Amino acid sequence: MSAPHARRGGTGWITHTFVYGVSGWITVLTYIFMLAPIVVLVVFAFNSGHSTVVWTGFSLEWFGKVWNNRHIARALNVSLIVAIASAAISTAVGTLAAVAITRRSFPGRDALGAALAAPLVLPEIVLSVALLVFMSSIGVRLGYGTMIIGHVLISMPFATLIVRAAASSLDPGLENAAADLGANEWQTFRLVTLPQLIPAIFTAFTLSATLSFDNLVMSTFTSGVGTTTLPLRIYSMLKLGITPEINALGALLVVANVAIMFLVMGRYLPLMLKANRR
Amino acid sequence: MKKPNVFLAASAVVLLAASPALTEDLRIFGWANEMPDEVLADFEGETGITVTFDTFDSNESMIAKLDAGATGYDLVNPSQYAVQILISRGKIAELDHSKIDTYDKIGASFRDVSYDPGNKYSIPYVWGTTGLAYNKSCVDEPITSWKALFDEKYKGRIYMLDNMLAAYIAGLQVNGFSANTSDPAEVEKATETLIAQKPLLAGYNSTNFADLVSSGEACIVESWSSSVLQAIKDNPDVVYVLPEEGGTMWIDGYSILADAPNPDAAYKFLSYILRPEVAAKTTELTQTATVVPESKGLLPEDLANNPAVFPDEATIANADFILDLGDAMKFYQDGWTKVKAAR
Repeated sequence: MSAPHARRGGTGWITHTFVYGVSGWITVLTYIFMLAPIVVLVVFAFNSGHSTVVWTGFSLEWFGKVWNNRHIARALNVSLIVAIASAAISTAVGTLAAVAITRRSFPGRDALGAALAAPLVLPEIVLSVALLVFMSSIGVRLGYGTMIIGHVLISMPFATLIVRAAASSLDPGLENAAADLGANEWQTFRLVTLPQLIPAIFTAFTLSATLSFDNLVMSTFTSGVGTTTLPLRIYSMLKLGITPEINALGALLVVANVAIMFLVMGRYLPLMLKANRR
Repeated sequence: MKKPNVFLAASAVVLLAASPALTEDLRIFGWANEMPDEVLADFEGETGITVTFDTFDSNESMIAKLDAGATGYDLVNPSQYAVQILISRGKIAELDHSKIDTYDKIGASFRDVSYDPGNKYSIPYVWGTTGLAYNKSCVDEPITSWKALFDEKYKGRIYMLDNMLAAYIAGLQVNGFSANTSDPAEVEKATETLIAQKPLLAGYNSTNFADLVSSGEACIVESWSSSVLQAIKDNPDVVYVLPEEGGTMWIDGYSILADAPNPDAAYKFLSYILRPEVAAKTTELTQTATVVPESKGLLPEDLANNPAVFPDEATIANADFILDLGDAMKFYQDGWTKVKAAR
């Protein structure tokens, strides 16, 4: 009797929030606003006509087209290679930098921290053009190498920030205890600091990979022979009009993203919750 | 256990990276959707050459990329004015026509194009026009002039192409000027016309305008011929016309880069795509006309007789060619900024 009605009924809070409450409606409208375009995109992927506006009937034809389009397969391959490679580098370097900045004191520490965040505030197009000019002036051939370097430049500030936030909330007492018990610096890092940072490192990696996978501006300037990424490919397809083929590709990416999200949550959510409890 | 695996993986990567050197490669930098996959796959099957096809979204970004030192491409796919720019910057090589055994398949009118006399640096391949498309159900009379795009009657149901040079075609020709003028006064007048037109527009659009005109959401749109063909097929109410003021014609061709690693493969590719049966396949799959007249006989009747794909000679003769404007480009850029900023 003393417990509020909403809690006891189990589903009573839904009525409470979404029928009588303003916040519930705002939430629903916000979700509709954010998700409706994606729903429309996915629906028109199944259109049998060539239009992305007029519905003519159900068909899986466009998915077949995407499946058989070797340019898309190739571009997807390039995007994945660049995303994984650049995210791995960003996360590795970003983690070490974050630990150094939060754990060590050395001259120029603050300057280093600021410098690492600088690419965040520089317009990406400026970075891209500068990188392109630099690369061509020293005679580097454009391709995977230049594109991975470019993407690392974009994603490393984010990776560093994420790991820094996690590292600064760690209890230094644990590291001191490890040192007291005879662990050397490397052992302390590997056995004490690193395991506690794993959820943050994983988040940094996923975010870096996503940033790289979506990137258009940097890729435009740094791609070379045989390294057209998926966004570059899609953008160049727009010139001759949008067909549901692009919708079908978008629908597949949505499905892939949701699947990865569930996979990651299933595996790492318990780990992150555990880390947060600590 | 770990170390040998890493070593194996590394050597596999090295092997993979090295293996393409054993086969012949051809690297093309081109427009998406103008060269069908099937044609590339057939070419690979016949010659054993591996084709890498990278795409760009505009002539300008392609030129910028090559200018900044992107190297390693054998063939590039510029439009007519971009050929002039690439020639002036020494990016593309003079062609040896004797190495293209199907050179004589090119139609007479494409043998000596104004932007590249004698086709010394480029082989034209696909072409089309810039005109306007409209939906019959929302106009009273057939549209024959650019003036329709400036007509109060269609207020809010007109789209212009979101492309500087394309928008100026309409702006200049409706005033009776050439679409290729370099006279600042004429460009200025066109700029005023385009600014005055803005309240009538539903927007600038160069992606899905064909859909909009087909669904009836738009009444009249400035349009590239190739973009609107599918809409015409799906909806008989959609009509494409080259306006009486002329409209323009564009040609996208192929040039061999001055530093091409494998020009021989590039010549083989050019010889291959100019074969009438290959050109016909290209037209069928991309709905775009090629410069090979013999291919017309191999096409389905409705495509070969489609005036939007193959306008008659008189209509083409009236059309302007957008060429490199050199320094006059600045007048256009300044004007276009004003147009885009106007309310």
